[in-house]
Amino acid sequence: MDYTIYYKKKYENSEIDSVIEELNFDFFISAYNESERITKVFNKINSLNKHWIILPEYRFSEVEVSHLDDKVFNYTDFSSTDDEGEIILDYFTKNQELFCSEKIGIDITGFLRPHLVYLIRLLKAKNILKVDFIYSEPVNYKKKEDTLFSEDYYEIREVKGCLNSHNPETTNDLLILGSGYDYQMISKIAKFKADTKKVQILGFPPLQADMFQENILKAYQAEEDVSSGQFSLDSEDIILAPANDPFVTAQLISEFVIQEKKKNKLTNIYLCPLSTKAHTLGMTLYFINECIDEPVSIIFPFSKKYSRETSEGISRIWIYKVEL
Amino acid sequence: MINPFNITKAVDYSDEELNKFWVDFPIEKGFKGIIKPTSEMPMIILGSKGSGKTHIMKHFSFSMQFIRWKEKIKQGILEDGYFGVYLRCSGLNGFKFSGRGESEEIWQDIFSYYLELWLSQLLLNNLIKLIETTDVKINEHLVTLEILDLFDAQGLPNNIKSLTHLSKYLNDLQKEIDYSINNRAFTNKRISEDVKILVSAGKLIFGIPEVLSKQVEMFKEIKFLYLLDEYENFSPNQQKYFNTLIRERKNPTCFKIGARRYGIRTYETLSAGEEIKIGSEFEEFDLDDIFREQSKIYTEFITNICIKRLENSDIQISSSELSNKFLKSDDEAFLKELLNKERKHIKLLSSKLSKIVDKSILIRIISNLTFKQDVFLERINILLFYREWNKKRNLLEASEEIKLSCIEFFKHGKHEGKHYNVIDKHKRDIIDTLYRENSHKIPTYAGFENLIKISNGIPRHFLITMKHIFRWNEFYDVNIFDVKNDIKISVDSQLNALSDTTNWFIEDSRHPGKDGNKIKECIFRLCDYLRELRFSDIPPECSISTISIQTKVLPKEISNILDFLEQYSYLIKLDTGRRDKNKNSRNVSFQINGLLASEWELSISRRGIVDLNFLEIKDIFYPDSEDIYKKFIFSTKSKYNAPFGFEKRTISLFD
Repeated sequence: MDYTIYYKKKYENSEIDSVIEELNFDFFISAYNESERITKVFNKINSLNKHWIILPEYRFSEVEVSHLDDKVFNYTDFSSTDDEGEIILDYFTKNQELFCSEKIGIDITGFLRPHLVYLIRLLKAKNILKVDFIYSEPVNYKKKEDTLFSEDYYEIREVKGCLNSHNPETTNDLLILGSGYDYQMISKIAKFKADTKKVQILGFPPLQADMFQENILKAYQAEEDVSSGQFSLDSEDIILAPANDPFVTAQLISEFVIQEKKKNKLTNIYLCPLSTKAHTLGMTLYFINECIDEPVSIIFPFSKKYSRETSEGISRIWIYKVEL
Repeated sequence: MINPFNITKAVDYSDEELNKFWVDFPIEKGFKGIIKPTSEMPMIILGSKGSGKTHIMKHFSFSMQFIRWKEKIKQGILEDGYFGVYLRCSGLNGFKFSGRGESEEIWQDIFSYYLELWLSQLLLNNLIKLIETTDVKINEHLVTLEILDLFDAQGLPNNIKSLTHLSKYLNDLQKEIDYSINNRAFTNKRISEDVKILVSAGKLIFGIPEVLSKQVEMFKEIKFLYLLDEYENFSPNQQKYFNTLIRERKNPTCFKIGARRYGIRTYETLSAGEEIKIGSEFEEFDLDDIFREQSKIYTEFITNICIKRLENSDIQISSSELSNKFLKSDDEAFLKELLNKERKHIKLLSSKLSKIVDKSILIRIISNLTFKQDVFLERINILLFYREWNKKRNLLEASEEIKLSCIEFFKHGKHEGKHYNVIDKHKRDIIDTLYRENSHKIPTYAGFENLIKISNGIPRHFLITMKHIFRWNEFYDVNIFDVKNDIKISVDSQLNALSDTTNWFIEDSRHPGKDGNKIKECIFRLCDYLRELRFSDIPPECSISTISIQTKVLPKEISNILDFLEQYSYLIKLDTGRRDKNKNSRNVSFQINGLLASEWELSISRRGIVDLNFLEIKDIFYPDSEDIYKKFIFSTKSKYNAPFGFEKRTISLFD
């Protein structure tokens, strides 16, 4: 499968008005977060129906979201046992008709990774095949490489709907990690699937020039668990994929796995998206296109809380046109 | 040159490499004598992370038997007396058997069925490999029929005639369960409606070995050894199920369970919650205890691991040569160097004394305590003087007595008297204090045997230190194992490596999130506190790094913290606690992990024990605020450092 044939387009921040002119959706969804790159896009975009989804992990109070004008699906008070599957499935069931719209736009910027992965997996399962994904890049993260994204880690499990049947043989298992700044989570996952060959996807070119350095600083902190203390950019087990390109990401994962299979029969594969949302989208596209009947799963370290606003500004906006 | 110590985890090795790097425990019968693979008694093998459990357990698996015996595998199995089936519990993805709208009972049934299918596939796949590569004769059709007969369900497919087909059939049944579980996320359809349990718990796990034992000549006397590694990955309910299998074990099946020290979540079984009984239903041993209690054998074991690693990098070295490679601290040279330098301890004492005595007295006291010929004895004078000060003695008189004692000891070196007593107990502390007072890194931790001691019975800690030593020398472009040159490993590179390993250890053992930070702060506070004591004017104990706690009175929050610190080897629980002098109850003693001790300049020996009372424990492990801890440290400093909390007073010549 060639993912690079998918259409993508970027707009600089100054062109945001032209984005609005070019894009007309019947149905537009975004996950609310106070970041400018999320609210600005939502407010300006042109769509017949616009929905905010408010995810419980951001812990917004009623007052904090009372100003939102458009239709709001507030899942803040969902029970703690309700996971991404319950929330997104509930949202989907309530809006099934809108999902039949011709032009669907989903802003992935504010979505938490598991919710995003499950949503895409669900759309595939429900045969909703054409979606435009929107991703806005930040100018920078607030505290550089020390930006805190997740708090109160509690478990590692599969992203709902992404747990396939695995081989009892585990002699040649592979863990493909989208490695972002959250090195503690990267270590956690690497320890959880210790008996795997670990491959890291790093964002290169990065969203901003300094972000690659920041990313590397963090990758070093997890090196003992991920690369037996031998982190090296020259390693065959590093995939450098553009931080804002899901299609190249999917393509590189696909090619890497093909190469690995040529060397030796792979027993199981685990994917874990911990880098940019564009990488997450790419990893999910690879999963739904090539892994549904394979011993491949997407796993994730879940936290009870996520920082609401970790970035500043909008540097550019991407549109990814996807056929699932 | 590739760092011979690069790989520090068994999981990063292939089976071939695991075999190549295998080092047995240097006791009679080695690890086989400990694990007893043919023993019918189930065994739980505990050990800290990095203790080598996986390497040991894998050693007894079929894949390793196959590598060891190669084409003679059939004879090998007969000689070994067992056929190993290795399962890494994390591979099962046990997290999937919970929630999703199903009751715990339903999950228990599904999990037990799933485990039957999973373990049976592993056993059958090993068997298929054995048949494919040897002349073992098995009537596959008959064996398959007998195995299918173990199923409770009727109407199973009748075209399964070989072990390969049977394994595939079990895999299909497993896939059906997986599909139902995953599909729940899209349909909300109950999993229990989909999954049909075709075989009762234990029927295949015990039944297949029974069938093979009955039907295959070579297996008549062979034990089928299920090795379950990383048992901590099973939830309490899943362990409860497997504990039931341990209780109901049938020949020729044996179990060996590997788990981290905190990994056994329950000993309960499904039989009305009864616990499996140690001694009669299973035996348990802790690798850490074995390694820690037999320190000489552990040292030999680690030395052998080192030699093996180096051999595989084409470096031949004997154990004595290896030990000699590591430079140790040269205390004599250091003390000699201090002779011509400003005496920091005298300067500090003068400054403290100047606040309470007249200048003329100060001069006489300092003159009495100064001993130019020997800095070490002079430092002992200072310690003895501080002790007298704390006893509120006449300081001038005290200094005169110390002076006489010092001269006496210097001249005759008798094994008695004040100076001898200090040397007997505090020699290392005094030297380390001198290093510290003179802004030197404390080099005491360097030396091959010390590095082994610092690893506290956890081989991975030693290996990571070696890896960093190698890295530091690479950085300085020094080939430490160059056979042509007798290059030694410098104290500095050993200390740097220890520091790197400690940083890794702290990060590695930390739980992410706030709880992890809390625990980290607790151990940091304890280490800070002990360091304050060790380098105070009158240390309450010698060689400080061990604490004693009366655990009975502790609130749950603190007990949990202590448990966590012990389970993750931040604290090493000592075998023998000591009796509380006043309450006649036994306390529990913990030693600070060697890596942390080296980072905090604490002792790596175990001599003096610091008793912590309830209030001290609370202020360290569970202070109401950071300010309370700071106040506690301030009062500790005041108590153990001159002027010992006394009010300012000025002593004149005529007092």
